[in-house]
Amino acid sequence: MTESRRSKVLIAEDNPVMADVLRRALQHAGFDVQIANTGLKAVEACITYDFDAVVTDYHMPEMNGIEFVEALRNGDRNSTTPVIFVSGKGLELDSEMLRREFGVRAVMFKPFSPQELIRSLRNCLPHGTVSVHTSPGIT
Amino acid sequence: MFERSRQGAVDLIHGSDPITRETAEEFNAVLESCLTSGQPRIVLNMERIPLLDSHGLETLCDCQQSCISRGGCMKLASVPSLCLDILEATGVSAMFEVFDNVLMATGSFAR
Amino acid sequence: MNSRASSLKLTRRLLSTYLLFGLLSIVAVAVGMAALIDAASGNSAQQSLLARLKSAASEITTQLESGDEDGIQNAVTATAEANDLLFCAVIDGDGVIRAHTTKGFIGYNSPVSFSVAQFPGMIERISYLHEDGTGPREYWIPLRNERHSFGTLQVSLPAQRLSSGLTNLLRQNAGLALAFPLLLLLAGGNRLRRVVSTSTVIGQQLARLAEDDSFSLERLRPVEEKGRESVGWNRLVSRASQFESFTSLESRLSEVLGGFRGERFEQILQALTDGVAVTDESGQVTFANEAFARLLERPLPEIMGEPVETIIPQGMPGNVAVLKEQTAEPSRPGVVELWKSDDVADGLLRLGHSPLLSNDGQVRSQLWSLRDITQQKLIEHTRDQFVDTATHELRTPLSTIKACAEALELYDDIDVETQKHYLNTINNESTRLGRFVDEFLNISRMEAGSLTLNRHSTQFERLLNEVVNKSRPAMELKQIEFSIVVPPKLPELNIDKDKIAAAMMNILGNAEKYTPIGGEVKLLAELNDREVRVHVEDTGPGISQEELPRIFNKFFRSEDQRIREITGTGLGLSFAQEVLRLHGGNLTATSELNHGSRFTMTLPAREE
Repeated sequence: MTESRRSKVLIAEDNPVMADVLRRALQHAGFDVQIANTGLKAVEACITYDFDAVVTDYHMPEMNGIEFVEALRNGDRNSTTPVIFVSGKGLELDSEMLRREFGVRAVMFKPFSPQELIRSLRNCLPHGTVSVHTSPGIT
Repeated sequence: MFERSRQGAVDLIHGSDPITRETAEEFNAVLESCLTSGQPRIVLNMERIPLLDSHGLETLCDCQQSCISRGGCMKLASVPSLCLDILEATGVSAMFEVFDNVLMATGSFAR
Repeated sequence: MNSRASSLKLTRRLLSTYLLFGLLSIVAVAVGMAALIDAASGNSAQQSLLARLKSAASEITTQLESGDEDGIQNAVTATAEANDLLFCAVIDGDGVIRAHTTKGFIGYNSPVSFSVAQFPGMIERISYLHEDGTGPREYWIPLRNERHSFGTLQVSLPAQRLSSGLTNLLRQNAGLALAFPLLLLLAGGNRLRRVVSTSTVIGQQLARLAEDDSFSLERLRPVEEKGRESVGWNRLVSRASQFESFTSLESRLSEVLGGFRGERFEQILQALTDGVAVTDESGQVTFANEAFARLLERPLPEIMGEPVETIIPQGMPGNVAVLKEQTAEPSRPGVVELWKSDDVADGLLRLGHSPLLSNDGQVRSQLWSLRDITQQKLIEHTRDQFVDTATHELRTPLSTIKACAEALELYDDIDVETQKHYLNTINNESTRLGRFVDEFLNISRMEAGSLTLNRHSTQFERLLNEVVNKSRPAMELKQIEFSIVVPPKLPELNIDKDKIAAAMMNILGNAEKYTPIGGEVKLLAELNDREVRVHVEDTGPGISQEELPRIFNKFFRSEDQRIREITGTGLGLSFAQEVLRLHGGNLTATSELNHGSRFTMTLPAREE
C-alpha cells in the first residue's frame, strides 16, 4: 500500500459518548480525528487547522450543523473541504438543499453505522490520499 | 376502476383508468359517494390516470362546484404531465390546487 | 278631484232626498191645512146658512102676522133659491102646510110634527142618512115673535160637498191629514238613514282606524251590499284582511325559521368571533363584520369598499406574496396564513376564501373568513418542538449503542479496556433510552388522562435509597457533591412506588443535568405529623421569577441558553407534579437566578 499521510477528519458532535465512539472507530480505520463538541468550537478548529474531511451533526449547542457549514463555506480555510452531514431523519433537513447550497457530499441518518461513515469518508477524499490501516480484517 | 379510501378526515380517490366518456359515470358515482355528509375533503390521486377527456373534465368541474357549495374542496395529487397539460390548456387547473403527492395534498386540509 | 266629485255626489243625493221629502211634507202640510181650512170654512159656511135661514124665518114670521099669503109663498121660494134648498115649507101651529116650494103640498098636513115651536131660539136639525152615508138635511126653524108663535119653517138641504171628493175625505180625516206629512217626514228620514247608513258604518270603521293605529285590518267588517260603495268597501275589507293575515303568517314563519332576514341575519354575523367578509368581482369589500375589521386592527368603515389585497397587508404584512397568489385564483377556495411579525405570539391569522357561486354558475364574489390561530400555532410549535426533542432523545442513545455494538462486532483488535468501555456505554445508553421511553409513556398516559396509581404499602426510606443510588453515578461523573439528609424513621406510605420513584428521578435528574461540573446537590427529607417532605437543592443556573410559575407546564422549556443547551423534553416536572398531586401531595419550587433552585415534594403521611 502506498504510504501516505493519514487523513485528518474533524468530527463536530455534542454527545460525548457518541463522539468518543466515532473517534475510536475512525482512528481504528486510519484517520486522524479531532473532536469539536459545539458548532463554535468546530468553526474555531477549522480556522486553525486544515482538514481533509468534516463530519458534522445537526443538533449542537451554540451553533447548529447548518450554521457551521455555512460559516465554513464562507470562511477562508477549509472552505472546499468535503462535509458529511449526520442527523436524525425528518428534521427539516433538505438533503437536496444541503448538497446544492453547501456542497455536502453525503447525508447520513441516525442511527447509522460507523462503517458506512468510513466508507463515505473514503469516497469524498481525493484520490491519492489513501488512509492507512494497520491490520487486515477491516473492510 | 376507481376506488375510494379514507385517510383521517380526507377521502382519497385513486384509479388506473382514463377518465373519459366510458368511465365518467363510474367515476362520478365514486365522487358522489364522498359528498353524502359533512364538508367534503377529497384528494384525487391521479398518479395512474393516463388521460382526461371533456367528460372527465366536466365531471371534475361539477364535483368541485358541489364540494365548494358544501363548504369543502377537492384537490389533485401526483398529476401526470399529460393530464396537467390538458387541465392547464382547458383552464380547468384554475379550479384546483395541485400537489406533488398525496401526503402533501391531505396535509393541506389541516390548514 | 274624483273623491271630491264622489263625495259631492253623495251630498247631492242626500240633499235631493232631503229636499224631496221636505217638499213632500210641506205639500202635505199645505194640503192638510187646506183641508182643515175647508172643513172650518165648511163649518162657517154652515154657520152663515143658519143665520140666513133665521133671517128668512123672521121675515116670514112678519108676513104671517100680516097674513100675506102670497108674500109668504114668495119668501119661501126666494129662500129656497137663495140657499139652494131642496125644499122649503111653512107649517103653522096646527101642522098645516101654509107655503111650500112644491105648491101642491099647500093645505095638507105635514107628516112630521114639530116641537120646536114651543121653544124659542131652537133650531132642530135632522139628517137623513142614505145608504152611502150621505143624505139631505132638514132644518126646522120656529116662526115666532114675542107675541105669537106662528109655526115652523122647514127647509131641506142637499148632502154637503166641498170642491172634490178628496177634500171631503180630508175634511173627515183632518187628523189624518196632519199625521200624513209627519209620516212622510219619518219615511223620508228613514230613507235618508238607509241611504247614509252604508257610509256611516264605513265612516265609523275608518274613524276607529284613524284613532287606533294598532287596529288590525282583520277587524274591518264588511257591510250590507246596497250599492257600489258598499261593494267596493267589502272588496277592500276582504283584501285588507287577506293581506294582514298573510303578513302575520310571514312574520311568524320568519321567526320560526330563525329570523333569517334583515336585522337578525346582521345580528348573527356581527356576533361571530370569526371575521367574515364578502368582496365583489373587482376585489372590493362589500360586506365585513366587526370581527373582520378587529382582526385586521382597522376600523370597520375604513375597510368597506377597499380592495382586500391592500387592506390585509396593512394589518398583517406577513405572507403577502402567497396572498396575492390566492387572490389571483378566485375560482377555487384557498387558505393562507397571515402574520404580523416574525414572532408568532404577535399574531397569526388564518384567512380562508371561497368563491360564491351565483345562480348562473359564475363567480361573482368571494367569501372571506378570518380566524385568529395564534394560540393554536403556539401550541403546535411547542408540540413540534417536543416531537423533535423526543426523537432526538431517542436517537442519540440508539446511535451510540449501534456504533459501539458495531465496533465490537467488527474489530478484532480492540483492547479489553476499550471493549469494556464500549459495553459500559451500551449499558448506560440503554438505561437512558429506557428511562426516556418510560417518561414518554407516562406523559402520554397523563395526556390521555389515564394515569392510574397502583398503591402499595412502601418503605419510603428504601425508595429514597434506591433513587439516590441510581442517580449517584451521573452525579459522580460530573463531580457534583451529592449530600443526603434523611431523618431516622421514615414511615411506610401507601403509594405507587414506581411512579413516585420516577418523579423523584426526574427531579434528581434535573438537578444533575443542570448543575455545572463541581456543583452541589442536596437531598433533604423531613417528616411531621401530616406529611413527608423531600427537598432537592442544586447550585445550577436557577430559574427567573417570570418563568418560575410556568415550569410545571407541559412542554415548557426555559429560554435560558444554559438550560436550552441541555436536552430535555419539558415534560419531567409536569409529570412529577401530576404524580404527587394524584397522591394527595404536591411539587413546588423556589429559585434564585444564577444561584440555584430548590424543589420540594410533599406526600401525605397518613392515608387520605
